[in-house]
Amino acid sequence: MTNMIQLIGRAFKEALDGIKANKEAYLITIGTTAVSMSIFGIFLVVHFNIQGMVNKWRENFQVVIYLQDNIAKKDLKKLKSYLSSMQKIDKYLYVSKDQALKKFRKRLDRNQTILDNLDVNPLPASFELKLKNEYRNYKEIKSIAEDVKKFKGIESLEFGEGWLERIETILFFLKFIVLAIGGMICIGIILIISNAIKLSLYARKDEIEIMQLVGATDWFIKGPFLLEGILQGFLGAILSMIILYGFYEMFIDNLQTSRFFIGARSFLFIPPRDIAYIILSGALIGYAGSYVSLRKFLNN
Amino acid sequence: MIQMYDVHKKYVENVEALNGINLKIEKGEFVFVTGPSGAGKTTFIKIILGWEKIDRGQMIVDGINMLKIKRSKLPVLRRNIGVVFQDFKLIKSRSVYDNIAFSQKVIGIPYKEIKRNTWEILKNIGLSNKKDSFPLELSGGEQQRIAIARALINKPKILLADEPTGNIDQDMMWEIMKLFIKANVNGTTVVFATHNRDLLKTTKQRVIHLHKGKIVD
Repeated sequence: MTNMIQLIGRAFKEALDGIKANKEAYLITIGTTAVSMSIFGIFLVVHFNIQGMVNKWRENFQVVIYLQDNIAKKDLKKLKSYLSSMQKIDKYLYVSKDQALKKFRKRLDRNQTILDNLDVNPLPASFELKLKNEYRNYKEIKSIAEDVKKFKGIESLEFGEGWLERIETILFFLKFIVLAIGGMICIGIILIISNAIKLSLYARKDEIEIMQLVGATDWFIKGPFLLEGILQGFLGAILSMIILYGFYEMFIDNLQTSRFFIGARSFLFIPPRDIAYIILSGALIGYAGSYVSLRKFLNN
Repeated sequence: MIQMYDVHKKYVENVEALNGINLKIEKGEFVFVTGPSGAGKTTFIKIILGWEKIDRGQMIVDGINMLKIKRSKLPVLRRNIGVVFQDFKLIKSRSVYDNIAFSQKVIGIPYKEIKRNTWEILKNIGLSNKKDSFPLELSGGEQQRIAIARALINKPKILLADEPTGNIDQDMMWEIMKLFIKANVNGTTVVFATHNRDLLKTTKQRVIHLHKGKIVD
């Protein structure tokens, strides 16, 4: 145990010595990492906000089944029992023709006199379905719609088909862009950190050779360099979040009054849990960067 | 302690650094390896240390089959082998004390023990007054004594030396030799590569002559 603590302590000390020896290169690496991760962060912020808007929209999302006026009682019963048995449906509401008209009058508010001359109620009865959260996507809704359409007495189905498909496509591309940029930036940072570690390794080449000669294990040699890389990635990620938050604070007012976001919801920063993931990813990327250099160096 | 059967090693095509070496070095033996430049002396030392892999043949060092040894097991082997080079291979940015203590830190010896062992060996080589000096402030002979102290501090079973007297004057050479003999008397097997004829003339130890990678009589 004492030996373990001694070894970890040594690894930290050596890592700090390495940082001190290559201070400038180290700061440049952290800076470059921070800028790269900030660029990724911008896309992430946009993605989070659009996703948030869509989620909000999805919360109020419902499927409406309009019924024919002459639907047979047994068909209505069949449809009702089908809807009750559906696991994907959170709740459903039957709206009769009269209820539909009442609702419509209410919505028309002061203009409801235009309905006074109606001889018959033109509005159909309907079922309003609220789906469980996980099923509020185009694929699931489409499949439910296909099933429901097979029942007799259905006039039509409405769930904003075109919109839903479009939004999901946009979200898919946005996610793809975030992932692609994230992936490229990740590779870029790995290369930057691996280069910085390479410099550190060459500066201490003799020392490493002697360590190998006297029987140091690979992990004993790697430890301080891995820590150096981890620290570079970790600090770079923290700095990127600070930079991004700074910009966010500076531009938040403009963003919230912009036409695109107005009325939707306030423009948010990356949630704390995701900030933690980003910082952790920074550390992992740093680890990968130093690992790449170390593997090459020690195998030679 | 060291056995080689038909050992071959080449770095470039058609040039065998070692060409069919067969030998046995017993535990506690002191062996000189000699030959002109390019005879294979350094390669001979390096393959015992596991620094270079042999291409063909069989080789056993301290009971370990060197043809099959895994990279992860090399540190275990090297902890039982001390090695000294002509160019000392000291860390220039570290003090004499740190250079010697370093090889103990590397294998995880507790600090208290490191301090005690380092002091003891510094006294033995007569350089305790230079503990805070840096390698470049010392003479060649002094640097080599530090390198020997570093090689011996972990009490290795085998001590390898590659031209350790190559960079030092004649008087100091005998001082250095005394340290090797002392280690051998204490039970360490010593393999000493040199082309120094004066040294070889005076010795009664076994001498292995290498020429173009082969053992010659």
